[in-house]
Amino acid sequence: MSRIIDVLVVGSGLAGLVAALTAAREGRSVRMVTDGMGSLAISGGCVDLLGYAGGQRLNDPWSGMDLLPPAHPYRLLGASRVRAAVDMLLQCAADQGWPLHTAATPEGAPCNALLPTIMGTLKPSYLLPDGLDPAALARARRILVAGVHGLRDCRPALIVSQLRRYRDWADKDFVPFMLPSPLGATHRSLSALDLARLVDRPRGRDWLIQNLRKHAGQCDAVLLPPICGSRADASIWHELNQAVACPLVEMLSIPPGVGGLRLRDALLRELRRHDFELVENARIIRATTDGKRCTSLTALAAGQERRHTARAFVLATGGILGGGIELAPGSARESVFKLDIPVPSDVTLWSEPEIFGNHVFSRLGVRVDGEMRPQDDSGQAWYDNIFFAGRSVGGYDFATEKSGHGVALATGWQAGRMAAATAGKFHEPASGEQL
Amino acid sequence: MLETTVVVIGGGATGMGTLRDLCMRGVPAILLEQGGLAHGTSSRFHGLLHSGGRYAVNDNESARECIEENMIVRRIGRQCVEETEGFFALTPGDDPAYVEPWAEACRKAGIDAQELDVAEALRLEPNLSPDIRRVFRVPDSCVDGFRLALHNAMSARRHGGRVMTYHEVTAIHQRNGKVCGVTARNSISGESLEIACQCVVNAAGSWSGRIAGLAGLDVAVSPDRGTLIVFNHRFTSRVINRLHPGADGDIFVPHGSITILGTTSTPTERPDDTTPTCTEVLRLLDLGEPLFPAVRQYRILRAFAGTRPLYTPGNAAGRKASRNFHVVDHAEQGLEGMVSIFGGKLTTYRLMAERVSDNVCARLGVHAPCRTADEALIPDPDQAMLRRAARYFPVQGLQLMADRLGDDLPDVLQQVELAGRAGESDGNPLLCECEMVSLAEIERVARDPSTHSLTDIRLRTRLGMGTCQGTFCSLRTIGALVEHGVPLELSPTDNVRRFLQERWRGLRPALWGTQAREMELGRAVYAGTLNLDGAANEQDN
Amino acid sequence: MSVRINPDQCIACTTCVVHCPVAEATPNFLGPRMIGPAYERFRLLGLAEDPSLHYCANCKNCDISCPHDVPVSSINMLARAEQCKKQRPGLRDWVLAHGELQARWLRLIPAGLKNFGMLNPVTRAVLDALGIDKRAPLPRFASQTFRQQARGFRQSGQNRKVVFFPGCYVDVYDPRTGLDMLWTLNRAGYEVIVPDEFVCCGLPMVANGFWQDARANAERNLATLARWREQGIPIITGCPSCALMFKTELPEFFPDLAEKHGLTPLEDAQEFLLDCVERGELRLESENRASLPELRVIYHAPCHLRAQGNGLPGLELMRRLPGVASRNADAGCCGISGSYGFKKEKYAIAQDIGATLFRTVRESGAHVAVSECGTCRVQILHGSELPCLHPVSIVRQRLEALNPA
Repeated sequence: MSRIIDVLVVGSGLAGLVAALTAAREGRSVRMVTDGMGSLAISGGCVDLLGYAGGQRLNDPWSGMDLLPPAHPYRLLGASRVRAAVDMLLQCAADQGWPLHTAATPEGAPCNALLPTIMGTLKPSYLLPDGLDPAALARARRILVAGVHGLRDCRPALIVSQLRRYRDWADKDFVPFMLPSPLGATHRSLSALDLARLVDRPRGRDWLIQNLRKHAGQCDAVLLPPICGSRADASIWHELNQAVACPLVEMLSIPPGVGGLRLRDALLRELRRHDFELVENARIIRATTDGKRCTSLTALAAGQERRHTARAFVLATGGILGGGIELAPGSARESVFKLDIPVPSDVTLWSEPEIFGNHVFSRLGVRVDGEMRPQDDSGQAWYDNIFFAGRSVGGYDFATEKSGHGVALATGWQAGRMAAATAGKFHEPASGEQL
Repeated sequence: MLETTVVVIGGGATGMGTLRDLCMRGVPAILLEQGGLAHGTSSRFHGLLHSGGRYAVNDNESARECIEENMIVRRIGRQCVEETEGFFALTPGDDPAYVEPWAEACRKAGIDAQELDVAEALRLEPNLSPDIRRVFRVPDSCVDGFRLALHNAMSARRHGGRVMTYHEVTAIHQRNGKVCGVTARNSISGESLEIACQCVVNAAGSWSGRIAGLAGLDVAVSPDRGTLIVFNHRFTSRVINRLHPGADGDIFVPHGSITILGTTSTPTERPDDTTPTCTEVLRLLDLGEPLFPAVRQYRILRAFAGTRPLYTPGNAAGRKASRNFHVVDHAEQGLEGMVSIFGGKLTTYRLMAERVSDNVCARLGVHAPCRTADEALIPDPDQAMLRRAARYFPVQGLQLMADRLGDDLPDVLQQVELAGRAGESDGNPLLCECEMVSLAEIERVARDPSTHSLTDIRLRTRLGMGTCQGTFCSLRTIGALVEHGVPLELSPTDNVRRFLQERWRGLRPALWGTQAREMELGRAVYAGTLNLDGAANEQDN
Repeated sequence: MSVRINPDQCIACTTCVVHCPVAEATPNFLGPRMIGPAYERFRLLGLAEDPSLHYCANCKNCDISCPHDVPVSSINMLARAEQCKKQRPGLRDWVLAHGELQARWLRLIPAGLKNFGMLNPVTRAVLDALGIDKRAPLPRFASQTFRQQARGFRQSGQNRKVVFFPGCYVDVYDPRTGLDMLWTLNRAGYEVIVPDEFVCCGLPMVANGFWQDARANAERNLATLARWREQGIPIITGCPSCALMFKTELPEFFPDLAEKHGLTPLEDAQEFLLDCVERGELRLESENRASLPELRVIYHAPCHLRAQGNGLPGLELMRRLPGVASRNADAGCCGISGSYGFKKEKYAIAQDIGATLFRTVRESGAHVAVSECGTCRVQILHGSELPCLHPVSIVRQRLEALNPA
C-alpha cells in the first residue's frame, strides 16, 4: 500500500463510517480498512442516543447526560459536540434520500420515541427513519399487527400479548394477521432481510400491498417487521404507505439487521462522493510508532502483511463483540496496540450474577480524552495522531443504556474531526503523493 | 389423597429406573420429583457410560458391574447411548508402572482393553496430544443422562407408572414403625398433596440424606461437587481418559455436537450447590492440556456443576469415597417400608434399581422377576414412520430428533402431517438452528403437562444448548408457542429472561474469548434491541 | 482438522448470511452460517450432508464479511471434498473442473474446429443435457495458448526478471490479456518468464470436489514456484483467483505440501505494476495527453480479489492513467464464480446475482468495463453486453496510444 493517505480508519461499523465521513467532508483522503462488515449488518437503523441513565428511562436524552458518570464518552465530549454529530448525520442522511428525524414532545422539543419490537416490548430511541416512526401508533385505536408465514422472528400473537402489558397500549384494538409466504416452501427459513429484498422489487411490493390492503382498511396503522426494502430508499416506504392507504410502522427486530443495512447503504453512498477507498478483509495486527506519533498500521490479509501509512488514524475496531477488545482469563486488552485494559484478575468480578446487571465487562474499553486520544493512567495521551471511536472506547454500556449508535456517532464524529485536523497539520501539498 | 403401593422419591435415572422396574413387576407406584425431570445429578455429569476401566484397579467389583451394565444399557437404551468406544491414554506425566496392573485388572473385571499403536490412535483422534506414550481402547460409551431418565419414565408409564415432577416431598408418614404415606408440595401451584402408600423408595441422590432425615433417620450422604466444561464442538469422537488412578479433569466425553471435560471433586454442604466457578474452569483447562494440547483454543460454551451423592459411612470423602452403591433397608433402624439407595453412578442405575426393587418386592411378597434388562426402554421407530417424517423434518436431524422424542415421535409426526394437510403454511421450521430443533418437536414437548418453562423444553430438546446459547431460539420459540396457544408458566418475556439467566449462570465463569463475544451479541439483541431489561419494570402483568 | 478450521469462532451473528450472494438469490441455500460452521458441528458427529451444500459458490463473501475470522468457505470446501469422497461428482463437474486438461488434450485440433465443436448448437444441447446450461457464456478457445504465443514474443533489453503465472483462463482462452501483461512488464523493464511447468492452480477442482487432482496440481506448482523463488525472482499473476488459491487455500488445505515446498505467495500483478509506477520503472504520463479522447471505464472488483485484503490495485492503476475516467461499480458479485454460473441448475442464480452489476455497468455510460478475473469478464459481457477487459489491457492500449512506437 504505497499511497500515503490522510486518515486511515480501521473498522466499518457506524463509528468507522461516521469518522471516515467526517474526515472526508473536511477534504481529507480516507482509507478504510475492515475485517468483516461491521456491526450495522446486525443492528437496527435508528440511532439510540440515550434511553436509560441513573436507573431511569429518559424522555429527553439530553437531560440524562448529566446523570452519566464522568468517564462516559458523552461526558468527555460534552452535549454540544454530541449535537453537532447528530446534525452531521441528519444532514448526510437527508442528502442521500434517507431522512432521519426525531420524535417531539407536545411542546415541540425533540425527545426519545418508544419503538415497538418484534417481542412486543418498547425501546427508547432517538433518530428515526420514516418507516420506523411510531407517531402514527400513538393516535391509532385499531392496529393491524402483521407477521409473515415462514418468518420465525415475528409472531403477531406474541407482540399483541406483550404490547397490551404497557399502560398506554392496553386499550387499543389489535388485529393480528399473518401474511402468506411470498415464496412458498423453501429450504431455508425466511428472514426479514429476505422479505425486504423481495420488497425492493415490484413483485414483492405487489405481494405486500395486496395482502395488507385486505385488512388495513379497517385499521388506523399497520405494525410489521422491517421488510419495507433493504436499501436506503425512502421512496419504497412512501409508495407502500400510499398504496395501502394506512401508515406503516416497522418494528425493531433481531439480526440480520435490515435497518442497519439501510443506514450503512446511505453512509457508504455519501462516502463514495469523496476521496475514499475501502480495503476489505484485512486485519490490523500491529502499529509502527515514532515517539508519540503513529506512522503506519500493518494489516494481515491472505497470509501476507501489508503496511498502511497515514497521517492520522481512527480506530473503530469495535468492542468485545466486534473484536476491538479481547478478553482472556484474567486480562483484557485493546487488539491493535495491545493496550492493557485494567481488570480484576478474578473473572467472576467482571460481571454480576444477574444477566442484565451492572457488569464491569460491559464498560471495558480504551480510556480516551475529549479528543478521543487514548490516555495512559496519568491522563497523558499515548499517541498524538490516534483516535478511538465506537465501542472500543470504554465507560459506557451500550446495551442497558440504549446508547450504542449514539456513542458510535458522537465519538466517530469527534475522532474523524480530530484526525482530519491532525492530518492537516502534517499536510504537505496535496493528498496522494508518494513515499 | 392418592393411593399407591410404592412412592419413589427422586426423578433421576435411579428413581425412574426403580419406578420402571416396579411397574414391570406389576407393583403400583408413583414417582415424585422436586424439580423438573432429572433436574439433579442425572443431567449434571459428564455423560460417560463407564466401561469400568476407571475403577478396575481400585474397585474391581464396581468395574465388573460397570461393564455388565454398560452392555445392558446400550441394548435397552439405544436412543440414549452413542457407542463411541473410549481410549485410556498414558501421558508423559502419568506413571508407566500403573499400566500393567491396570490392564490386568481390566482383564479380571472382563473389560476388553486392547492396546493400540499410538500412531493409529492419533490417526483416529488427530487432536489428541502427540506426546502420549501408550493407548488402550475400551468399550466406554456416551450416555445422555437426562434422556435415560426420560425414557425410563416413558417405559414406566407404559407399564402403568406415574411421574409427578415439581413435587417436593415435605413429610414421610409412619404408623407403628411402618411407612404409611407422604406429603408433597406442588412447587408450581403451592398446593399440598397426600399420598398413602406401603413403601417409600428414597432415590433422591444428593438429596437422599435430606429425605432420610424427613423420616427421622440419620445417614451419611455427603454431596460432592463436580464441575464440568462444555466445549462448542466435537474435537474428539471417542471418550478419552487418562491412564492413571482417577483424578480431576481427566475425562473428555463427546456428546452430540459438543465435548465435555470433567470433573472436579469438592465436598459441599448443599446438594444444589451447582454454580460453577472461574477457578474450577481454569483448573480443568490446566488438567485437560496433557490430553488435548489445544484445549485452551477450543471455545467454551459454558460450565456446569452437579453434586455426586457420596455415601460416606466411614468418613471417607472426595475421591477416596466409594463410588459404589448401597441399598439400605431402614427396617434395621426401626422403620419398615422405607428403603434408600445411596451412592452409585449412572452407569449402574439399572442394577441399583433392580436391587432396590428386589428389596421392596420381597417386603410386598411379589415374586415377579426383574425384566428391565430384557426390554428396550423405547421400541425402535419403524422405518416407514421415519420415511414419512423425512418429509417434514430436516433429514439429517431426523434420527437425533427421533431419539430425543422416544414415545412421542408418532404423536409429533401426526401433528405435523395434520397441519400440513390443513395447508398451514408455517411449515416446520428449525427454531433452534445450532442444535437443529424444529417447531413440531418443541411444540409437542411444550404441550407435555410436565413442561412449565423454556428451560424444561431445553432439557428435552437441546434447544438453546448450542453455539448461540439461546440468542435466537428463545425468542423464536416463545413467539411460536404464543402464536400456537401453548401456555407456559411465566409470561413470555419473563420466561425468556429466566431462560437467558440460566444460560448466563453457566457462561459467567468462562467469560472470555469467543464466548464473551457471543454474550455481547446476546446482550445486544435482548437488552440493546428488545429492551428486555427495561421492559421488566415497564410492563404490567 | 486444523485448529483454525473449526466452527468455534462463529457466534451466529448472521453477517455472512447478509452478504452471501447465493443466499440472496435463492431461499433453497441454507446460507453460509448454517451450511458452514453450524452444520460443521453435526458433520463432526457423522450426520449426513445437507442437500444444499452444493449451492455454495465459493465466492468468499462470507469470509470477507465475517467479523470473527470464521473460515466459512474453507469449511464448506472441505465438506464438499468429504462428500465427493463418498459420492463421486459427475462428468459435468469433471469437465468444468479440468478445463486446462481438456485444452491440452485438444491441443492438436485447430481452435476454429474446437470452438465449432464445442460451441455449436448441437454440442451445446449435448452439454446442456450434461448439465452445462446452453445459455451460459462458455469462453472460446484461443487459436494458440498464451504460452505458445509468449514463446514468439520478442523480449529484449530488460535487465530485471519476473515470473508470470498466467492462470488457465488467460492461457487457454484469453492469451491477449497475457500478451498485454507481457508487453506492459517489458515496458517497465522486466523480462517475463512463463514456465511451462505451471498447471492449473486447482481452484476449480476444489470448488467441484476433485481434491486429489487439486493436490497433485498444488504439488507440481509449489515445486516449480519454489525453484523460481530460490532464484530471488518475483512471481506474479494477473488472476485474483489463482493468487487467492496460492496465498490462502493451498496452505490451509494442504499444509504438508506448503511445509515441504515452502510458501511462495503470488504477488498481484496489478499491485506489482503500481509499484513499478512508484519506482519510476513504468511511466503512465505522457506529454501528448490532451490528444486522446477520454476513456470512461467501469471497474468491477472480483470477489476473490476483495478477499485478499489488498484493496483494488487494478482500479488504482486505472485512476493513474491519464485521460481515463474510472468508476468502481461496487455492485457486488457478478455471479459466475468460476464454473458455477455455467451449471444448468445454477445459471439462473448466477444471472440473478449479477443483475445489479449488469444494470450498473449498462447504465454507467462507460466505454468499457474492466475486471481482473477472466470469468467475471465473460459474465459481465454476457450480462451487460459491454466489452470487459483486464486492467492491463487498458494500460497497454493507453500507453500505446499515448506513445506511438
